[in-house]
Amino acid sequence: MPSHKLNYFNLRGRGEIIRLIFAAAGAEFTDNRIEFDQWPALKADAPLGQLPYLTIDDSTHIPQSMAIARYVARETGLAGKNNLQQAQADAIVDTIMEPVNYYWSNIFKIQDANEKAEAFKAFLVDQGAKGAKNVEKLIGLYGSNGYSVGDSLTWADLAVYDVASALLSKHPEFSDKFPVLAAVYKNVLANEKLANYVKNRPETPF
Amino acid sequence: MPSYKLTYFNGRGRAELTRLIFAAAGAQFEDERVADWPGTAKADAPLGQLPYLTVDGVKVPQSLAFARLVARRFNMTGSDDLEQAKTDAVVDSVSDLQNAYYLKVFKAKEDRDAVVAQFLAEDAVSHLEKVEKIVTLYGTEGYSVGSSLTWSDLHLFDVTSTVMTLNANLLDKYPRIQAVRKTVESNEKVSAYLKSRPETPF
Repeated sequence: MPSHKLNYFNLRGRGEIIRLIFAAAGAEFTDNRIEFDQWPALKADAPLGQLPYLTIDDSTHIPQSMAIARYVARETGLAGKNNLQQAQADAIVDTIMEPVNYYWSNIFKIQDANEKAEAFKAFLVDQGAKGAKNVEKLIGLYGSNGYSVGDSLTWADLAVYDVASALLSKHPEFSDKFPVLAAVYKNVLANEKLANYVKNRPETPF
Repeated sequence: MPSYKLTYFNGRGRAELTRLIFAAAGAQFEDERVADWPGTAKADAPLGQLPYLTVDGVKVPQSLAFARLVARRFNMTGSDDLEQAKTDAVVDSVSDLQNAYYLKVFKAKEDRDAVVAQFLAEDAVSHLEKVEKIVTLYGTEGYSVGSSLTWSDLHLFDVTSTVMTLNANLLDKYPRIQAVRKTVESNEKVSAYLKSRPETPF
């Protein structure tokens, strides 16, 4: 396998799904965490001047977190067993990303803490709940036994885990409202390598 | 041979990319255009939304997920895993432009002129610059990735066509994007499709 280096901030954000895939697969990679004060000097190295990007064999750079995640999932055998399963995993991830992207574009940037908290509360019961229901619908169509697609771990499960773990610490009632997602979350944590990674990863604000 | 049915409104929108992929591949598919919405069609859609693709009876929503499936089945995602990642990265960068268009311009009502002006001056420039950069990085003259037609070329063509309705000179500063458009337009199967497809408002 080629060598891989993930370049991202020392945050979970849009990079964590990639780290989770490497971790669950037990695959080697360099986790290059860039501090904010280092970033301006390194911006020109990033293909689109943004993070994350993946460096492959010290020579090729891939931006766009979803493109990177999909590539790493495929390389490590976590994309789905055939083309159709891969499409189903893609559809689930895209459905998860709809509310997530809405959050990043509209809620995350709010400066005033009270305004932000109010907006987040409204988001949870609106776009958040709608997105969660849709993901559960697709898992019902495509998955089984705590797996989002088919009967084995795919990056779609890890994407569910990534979002759910951010939420559950502050909103434990989430697992009652969305039992299908909670089952996937539990199943992911049963993966030893992943559970180990999560235990040891740096604590970051997001 | 697998059977494909694409279900969408009678428009280009988020379905046209997949229609272009089928066209470029010279592949058969059922092009279902829903006139009566919600009607019974909404309940048939896995997430109550359009478009979705039915592949041998299995329904897949999310336009990019099923476009990628079709592109892969017809060998238009690049020649290896790395090229596939590059086509995905180009598609995502083009989609950033498309999503900004849908979010701002498509939904604008009374203040449309102001929204369009801001979109053209800021969002369009920012996203087009990135697309130009990435196709220069990964592609050759006339191709966004490598040196043969991939689905990222078709997505680039489709999205820039829509945004260019706001300003025909939009791509003046982006020669590599223009070159990819030219490749797509002069592809025999695609140009035949473009000539024969229905005229629709979106």
